[in-house]
Amino acid sequence: MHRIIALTLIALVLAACSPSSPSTPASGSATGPTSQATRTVPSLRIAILNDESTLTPYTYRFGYPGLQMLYLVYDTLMVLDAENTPKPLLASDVKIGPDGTTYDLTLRTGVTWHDGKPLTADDVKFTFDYFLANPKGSFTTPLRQVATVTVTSPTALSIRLRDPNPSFPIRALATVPILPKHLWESVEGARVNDYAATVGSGPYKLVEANPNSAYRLQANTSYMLGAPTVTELIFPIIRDQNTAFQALRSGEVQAITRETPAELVNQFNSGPFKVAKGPGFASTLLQFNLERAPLDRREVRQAIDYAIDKRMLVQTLLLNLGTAATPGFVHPDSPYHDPAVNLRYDPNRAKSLLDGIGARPGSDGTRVLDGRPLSFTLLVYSNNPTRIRAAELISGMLKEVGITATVRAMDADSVDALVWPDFDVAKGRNFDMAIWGWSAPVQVDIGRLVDLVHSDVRIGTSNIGGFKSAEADRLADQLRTTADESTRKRLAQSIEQLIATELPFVMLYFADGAYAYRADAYDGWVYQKGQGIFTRLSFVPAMNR
Amino acid sequence: MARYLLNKLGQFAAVLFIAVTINFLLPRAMPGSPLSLLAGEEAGSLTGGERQRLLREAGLDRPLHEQYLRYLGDLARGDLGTSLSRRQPVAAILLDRLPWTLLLTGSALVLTTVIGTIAGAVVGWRRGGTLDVAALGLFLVLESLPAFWLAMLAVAILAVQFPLFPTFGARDVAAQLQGPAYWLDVAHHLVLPVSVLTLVSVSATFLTMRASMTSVLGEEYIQVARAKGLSGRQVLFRHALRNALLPVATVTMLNLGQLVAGATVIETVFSYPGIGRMMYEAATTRDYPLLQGGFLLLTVSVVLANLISDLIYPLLDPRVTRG
Repeated sequence: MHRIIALTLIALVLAACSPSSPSTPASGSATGPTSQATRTVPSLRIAILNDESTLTPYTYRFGYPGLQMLYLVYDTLMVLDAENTPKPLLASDVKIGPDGTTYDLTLRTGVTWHDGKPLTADDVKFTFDYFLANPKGSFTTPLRQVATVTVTSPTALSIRLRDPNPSFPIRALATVPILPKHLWESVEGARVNDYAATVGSGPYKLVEANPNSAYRLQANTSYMLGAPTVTELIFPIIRDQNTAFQALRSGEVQAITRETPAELVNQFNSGPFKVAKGPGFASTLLQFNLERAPLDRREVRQAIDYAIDKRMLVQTLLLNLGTAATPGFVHPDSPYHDPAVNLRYDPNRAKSLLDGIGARPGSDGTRVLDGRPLSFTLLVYSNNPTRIRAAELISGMLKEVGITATVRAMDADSVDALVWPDFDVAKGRNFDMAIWGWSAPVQVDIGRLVDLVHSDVRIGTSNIGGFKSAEADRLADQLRTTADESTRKRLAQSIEQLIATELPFVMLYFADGAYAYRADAYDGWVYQKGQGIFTRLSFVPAMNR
Repeated sequence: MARYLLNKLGQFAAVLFIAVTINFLLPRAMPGSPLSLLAGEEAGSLTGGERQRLLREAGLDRPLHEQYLRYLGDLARGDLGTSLSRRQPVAAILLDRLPWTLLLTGSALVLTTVIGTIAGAVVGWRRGGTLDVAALGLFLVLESLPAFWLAMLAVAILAVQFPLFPTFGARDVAAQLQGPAYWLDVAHHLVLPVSVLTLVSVSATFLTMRASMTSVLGEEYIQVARAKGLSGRQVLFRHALRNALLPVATVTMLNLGQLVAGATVIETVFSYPGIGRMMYEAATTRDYPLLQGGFLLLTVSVVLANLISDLIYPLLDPRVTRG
């Protein structure tokens, strides 16, 4: 009897582990020998470290790599090239009206969805309406400024904006994935997040999305820009970073979307391996709560800025694979950077600034200002060892000038709940200082400076420190409506200078991107500045021309 | 006996209810909210109205007691809800992962029990000898090895340096295998995780068995058995081993309850699709429904294992019911 039960249990477990029911027929030798591409690679395995849910525009989870994987399946109207310049994609031509509010788009002809139906201007209009009706952070926000969309022919449409917005091509046209109307129109609001079918017009078809193990993409051989260079892309999920790099060594995967840690870069610089390197635009900074005394005093913030040696952080933490950040937020390699905004480090200056406002050292060495010690809690994500080390180094540097910063590492959601409750700056904040960072797209679109500094909670949606400055508001209001490029640059530089003086946060560094891969498996990678190599540019060379 | 049974079942129901309530409250007691899961990237750029709408659609805007009652109602109908991060029914996710967890931890539990019991019995029989001292040292060392370190070492040596085994996963995701080839592949992927898990957990059984054996050997009935002129083998297997097994049965039963909890560290290092790792991810992303479902599964299995062991114990040791 016992034996029967035991055997039954074993049989049940094994049965449940067996191959999933009838596998989709779309695999195998789908691509014939007709492909003219000279150096097509049959298959490539790229490890990702987290699952991306069902990988639809509403369910993917991370801007990198999830959104980039999504862009392999869905097209956008424009595409950012390696230099982050918007280039035509689904739209073969984009004409901007003289006042900067009208965009006349001509669509490429003969484009079809993966299910064979033609892609028309109606799909584009539908997509805009759909994202406005069903909120999805990164796609709804840039479309809010659209006043009307008029379809003039199956391959032409005209978009009118409420205000001129020079960021529109980058933030909207090159960002919003175009959805097939014939499939999504039956998906009702509340169900968008459960809808799993993924049919796009992009260079790849999603043939398997299993958040437990892997995503499998098959080349769309009839893609409008020609068949992509790799026929099959498999993205296995390897939860552990160390294991992922071991799998790269053993050849089980040929690339990893996660950046290669500085200490591993040299190991992967030889043999069949190569490391693609380039500037990274994701920033790391020290965020202040400007509503909390004495951090509301500019001199205190300036003293903290002078006390921190950013070059030393880059050397120690990043082994020089990075750029020390200048104080005005804008990356030193950005075309908008003002060369007059320079890197700062001067502990003596920090001390004299604090002396100047009467903050004298107390008995334990910590300075006291207006009867209160300059003692703060410094929050940091516990899942980010580099940032924890940064926090500890900074704590040591601040101690030198008489400021105590107690490092407190907590899980990311707990830190967010204190720094940015519900991701809504209108809800206030409850912290002293935090190691923070903004992703690469914030650096790519200079218009985002407005989000960082504007004091109106509806406009300054990333102003998490509660920074208030009439001058900043004035400049930001001009920047977000000015179309002229040279005026924009001047305004952006004024804001950069203002940030460098007022210091709502102290910029620390930009880590370089470094991505190890097996060059003998595939060497067609394109490094998109600030983003990395795991973008559609690496598989469709025509996008970068 | 019927009263004993009824009593136990009553306790089972009470514990389950309390656990379900705690399962509901605990995730919500953590700071943070699942809003970033609902809104995706750039949640900060949404308007207040859009945020409210997302929370409403997920039923998270209702007062806590309403959410609780709805949760209990759904539970009564057998509905575990939908995961916020995976966008799949929680029950489906659990069912998808449970077999892999059972395969991993179940295999390890069998190996642990068999190896631990035999080694403990043999060594306990010859306590104080060279073999005993050596084995005791070995198992104490194993006990103190950190699981993640041993797992990483196994990957580095047996999967990369000498590529005998795969480094990650429960099956080859690239090759679409069928039939015996599929099962060979699954077994191939299972070797390293199960070996490491067995190595780091075998000591408890071994030490229990050894201690138990040692104390049993001092009993008078063993002396009687020897005095009857039985051979060493007969004394060991017929008299000593059987009686010494009782504490080992307890340890095994406790382990049985933990079976579905999986082995988070091992699952992480080998990227094995088990329940343990899933729970960890659900906790860090504040995926309330998935967390609740996972906790429920854990609670039920632990309580159930206890219930079973309570019911089986009288059969193993008749003294229990009398007391």
